[in-house]
Amino acid sequence: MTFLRPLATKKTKAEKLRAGSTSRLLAAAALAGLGTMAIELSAVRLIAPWFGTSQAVWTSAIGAVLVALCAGYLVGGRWAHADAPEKRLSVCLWAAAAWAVLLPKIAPWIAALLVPEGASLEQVASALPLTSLACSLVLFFPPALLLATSGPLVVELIARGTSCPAGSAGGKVLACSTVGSLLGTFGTTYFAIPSLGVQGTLWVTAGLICLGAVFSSRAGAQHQAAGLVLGALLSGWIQPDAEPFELIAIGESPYQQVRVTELEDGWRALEVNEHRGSFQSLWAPEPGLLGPGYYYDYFSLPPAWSGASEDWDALVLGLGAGTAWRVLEGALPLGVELGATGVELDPLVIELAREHMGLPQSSEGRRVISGWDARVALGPLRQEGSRWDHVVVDVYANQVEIPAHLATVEFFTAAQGVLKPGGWLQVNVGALGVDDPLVLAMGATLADVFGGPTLALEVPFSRNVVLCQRHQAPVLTPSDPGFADVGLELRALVQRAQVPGTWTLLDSGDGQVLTDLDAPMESLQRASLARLGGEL
Amino acid sequence: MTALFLPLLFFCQDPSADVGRFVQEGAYADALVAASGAEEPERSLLFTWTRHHAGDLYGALAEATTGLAAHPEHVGLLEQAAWISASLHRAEESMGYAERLEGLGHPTASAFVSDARELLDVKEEVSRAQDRANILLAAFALLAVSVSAWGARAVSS
Repeated sequence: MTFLRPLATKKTKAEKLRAGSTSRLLAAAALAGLGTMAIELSAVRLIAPWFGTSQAVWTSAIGAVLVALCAGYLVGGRWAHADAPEKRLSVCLWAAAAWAVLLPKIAPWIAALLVPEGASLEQVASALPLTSLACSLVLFFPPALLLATSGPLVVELIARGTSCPAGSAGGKVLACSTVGSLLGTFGTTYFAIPSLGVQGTLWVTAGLICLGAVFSSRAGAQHQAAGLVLGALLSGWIQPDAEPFELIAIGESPYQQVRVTELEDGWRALEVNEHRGSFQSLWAPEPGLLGPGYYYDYFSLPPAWSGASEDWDALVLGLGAGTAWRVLEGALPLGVELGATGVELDPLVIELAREHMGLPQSSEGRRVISGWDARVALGPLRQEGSRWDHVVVDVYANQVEIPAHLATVEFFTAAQGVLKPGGWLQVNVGALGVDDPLVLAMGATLADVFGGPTLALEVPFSRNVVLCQRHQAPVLTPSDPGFADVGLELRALVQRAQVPGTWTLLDSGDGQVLTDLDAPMESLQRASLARLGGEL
Repeated sequence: MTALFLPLLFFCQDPSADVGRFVQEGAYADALVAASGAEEPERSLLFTWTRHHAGDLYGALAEATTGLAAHPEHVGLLEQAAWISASLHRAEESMGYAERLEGLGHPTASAFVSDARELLDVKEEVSRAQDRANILLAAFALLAVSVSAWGARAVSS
């Protein structure tokens, strides 16, 4: 019995070669999986300057990649039975890598065909599902299809080379490909895009897919030729695009591209993703009111209405670069000190705001909670026992969308829980007038939570409505005598708010009360945009 | 555009003294009360003008439209309507008012027509972009189905 042991454990040269070949092929499958996810996740960021990163755009990008994967698996399956599957696998991976290198250059060209220069976000918004899908298909269908062919081809090569059953080979390939996809998913979001940017991520992805191509075949001359072509493509590329002269700083975070730009009169804007004249935060050289058309100014009214005389504690959910703080700081009645807390999801926004937009470091009287979702942050804040005179909710994702979990009874109940008695809650809603479907629903939700009507104020010269509620006290309305009892600086603001037709009181029956289980924000925002459709 | 035309309208339309004073003071609600005492079409013009200054662009346009229904050739209302509808990106509506002003031989008409033309051009470009998107979608649907069918045939055989 013992003499059999050496023969059973010692691998023959042929077996070693087969094992090595299998490992190489599995590595190629893993790198193809990594490449697919890296391209998919970079895809939305690549087209964000034209289409934004709304759920519709994500759906388009994911849909385009899934269609390509489906077709690619079938094509790979056919090629698996054709001549030279190893060579086909290698060519597909090289071609996918070349496409990844080309993507940053062809994306602006394709996007410009589908989103005209000069059109506003509102003008193109209704067509975004269609145009973003077309753009995603042109840009991402080819590389995703090419990468998808690798699965069946690798299965076939392993099955042929090792006489391994197809099911066993398929299991190994799927497992390796999924591990690669996982690395691609987390690596792209948390490492590659924040540190390398979208173009750098696609280049690194292309490099890794090339490595997969090298692993997939031993055809040396073919690899050298393909490497030369790819190198030539890349070397023609290295000149960076000219940056717009007004750009002060730019960075990529796991959430978005963030830019600080210089405006007229020394003002600065913090913009995210699409370049369509919208901004996330503003910085004016002097703190205080920004002027007609800016909803931030409405955040300065509650201290005046409440007759604040010493301290005013404000919590801003969706701090951005701190515009609401800065407006409050400059507009508070004389002698009133601002105690400000702000919650901002994206740490890069805070970093750039501190560097370029005067956002103070956390210190006595100023506290920034960075990297936290507004709703998640409310829990610990409430547990700390902190209470505020004023909670401002200015939370947007993808420029135009209020996240559903930040518009519900449950969220506003949590926000109410951190208000002092008589404290104010204000919510900025991007909407077309006080009878906009989104305003009706959010106003009704607030009324349901606070047990009294919500005051909705249309912001002049803008498409914003500010909703106001008060904890354990009724809100003031423009017809109340105390409404206009504000300082001289705020007089123009309340006088505009008193124009009939530009304000209303909303009860819980005036719209759908939104809950965590039933908050159709997408359809409400579509209905809001549809009102704009008539004027486009 | 606002910066250019706002002072112009102040002088061109000569709103009644009370309304003008209230608007200058920012007392828009009082200005609307004062305007309600005027005769038509001056009344509509003052309502439009006051709401426009207060930043209630939709309300202002609604007032102008109501006034123009009864006085379709009122130059002041046409100017306000052309300007506000352009601000709200209502291309066709703005062009309609601008052309009516042009028909009346008003000197500011060409500027309004030019603004409306720009808006229409953008709108047409958006429409052409959608057509291109439709063509691309059809082409890719065909490509995906063809490629899949080609691949599936071999798999089944």
